[in-house]
Amino acid sequence: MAELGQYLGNGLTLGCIYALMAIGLTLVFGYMNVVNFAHGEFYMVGAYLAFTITDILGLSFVLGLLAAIVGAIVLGVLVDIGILRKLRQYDDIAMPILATIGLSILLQNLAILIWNPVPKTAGSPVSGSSIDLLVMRTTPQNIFIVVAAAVSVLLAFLFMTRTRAGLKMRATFQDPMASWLMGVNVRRIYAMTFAFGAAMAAIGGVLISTVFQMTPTMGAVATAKSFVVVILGGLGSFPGAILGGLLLGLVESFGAGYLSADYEDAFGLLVLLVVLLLRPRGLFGAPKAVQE
Amino acid sequence: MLTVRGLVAGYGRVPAISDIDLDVGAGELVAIIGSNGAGKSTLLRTISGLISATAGSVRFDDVEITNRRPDRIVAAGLVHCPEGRHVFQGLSVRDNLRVAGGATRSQQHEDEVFTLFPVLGERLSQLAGSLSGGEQQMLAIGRTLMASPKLVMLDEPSLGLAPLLVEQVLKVAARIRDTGRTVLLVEQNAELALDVADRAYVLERGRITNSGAANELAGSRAIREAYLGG
Repeated sequence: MAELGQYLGNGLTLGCIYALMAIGLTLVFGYMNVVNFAHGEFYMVGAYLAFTITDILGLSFVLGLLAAIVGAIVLGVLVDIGILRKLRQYDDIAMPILATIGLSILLQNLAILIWNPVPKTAGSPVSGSSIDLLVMRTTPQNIFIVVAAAVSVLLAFLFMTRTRAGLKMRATFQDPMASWLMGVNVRRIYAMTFAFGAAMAAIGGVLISTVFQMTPTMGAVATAKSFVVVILGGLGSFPGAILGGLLLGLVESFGAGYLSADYEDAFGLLVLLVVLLLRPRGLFGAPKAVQE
Repeated sequence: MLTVRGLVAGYGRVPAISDIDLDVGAGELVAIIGSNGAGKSTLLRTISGLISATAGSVRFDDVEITNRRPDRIVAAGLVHCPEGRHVFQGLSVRDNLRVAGGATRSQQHEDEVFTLFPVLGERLSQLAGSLSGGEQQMLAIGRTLMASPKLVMLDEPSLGLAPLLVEQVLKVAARIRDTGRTVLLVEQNAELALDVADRAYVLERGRITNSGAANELAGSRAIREAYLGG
């Protein structure tokens, strides 16, 4: 019983990180037709930026988080304007794939140059021993991650549904041509969407680095996991990304705990196979199904 | 107000429209008629910046707007209501109108839209995709008005509507003109278009072959034989 509570706590923590990662990827993949293989690098860059502010410069965690978010937004806008916008005219899904694979290699190696390849540990802003919360047995650090992730997702949701910029994003996702004709600068919306996804990934990176070590290559696994969540939840689906992320986190945690830690990654893929067999478009699939 | 000179544009190597000269004066309702595939939609898409012109010029309010970004052309007051309605199906009626409306001026425009189309006011929270075809066309036109256009380009607003609605939609075009806006109407239904328009152009295989006052064109024998069923 004690284990169950622990696995639940770990799974939930991991799931929140996966959800943060998947939100940006699912929008960029589903609506901009960009299979972003550098998505995990925004997560890595976020972790290192926060580490630099918090642990090297000794400033507060909040400042570190802010630096990660701002850094990811700036980098995201630069990538979209500098690379993706130029490829969009060819309407070829392979080009952004190659470009983002190249970008991920570049960013990983830049990180090695700047921060060296030795794994780093960032501190959590909270500390203390394990606590019991309902059936869960977890740590203050994990609770902090879950709460921070939930707040981030909520803010992202409010941004999408309650602001003018969010409305223009949703309109563009449904019909870019009509959005142009209604006076929306669709190019800017794409840059904004890409930067938005990068910022969510960076928050994930900052949060995960409060409990795990960071390395310049930590983004690679994160990218792969994010794709699993995106397919699981359904391409382009915001709620799908959140539920898919939580599902993957819990399955991995329980699978590793009760069956075998060696196969932790395999359990997630197994669930993905089952979901795809039953619901080929994922849990919340089918964007663009309403087009005429 | 709108002056098009020697406009050439297309999708591949072969231009879909060439040497287009067209004038629309302030307060006019001008129709472009022509059969399917004549290049009517291509012409509007080129004017609104969706496709680039390979030659020629488009001037609006004495400002050169050829190949400007579509949202800038909208900001200048030239707004294009596309063929096939293209409402945002997954957004509510209210949100559809808000996308086009600016942050501050929307109330006044909303009143105008609801006067023109009372049914939209009753369906504000409904998803656009759940509206009937006619209602979606009203929403598409209403959304266009929210962008505060000086000149409205309506592309085949009657397409796919029941005969009764076709007439209604074309009357709407005339009412928009009567409220002081300028209208450029593209329409396959030549008879009804010439009925509401002040002037008209005939587009055939990408070129303008005839133009004049709408009632004169409606009386011309060539036009009657080609477009009005004899």
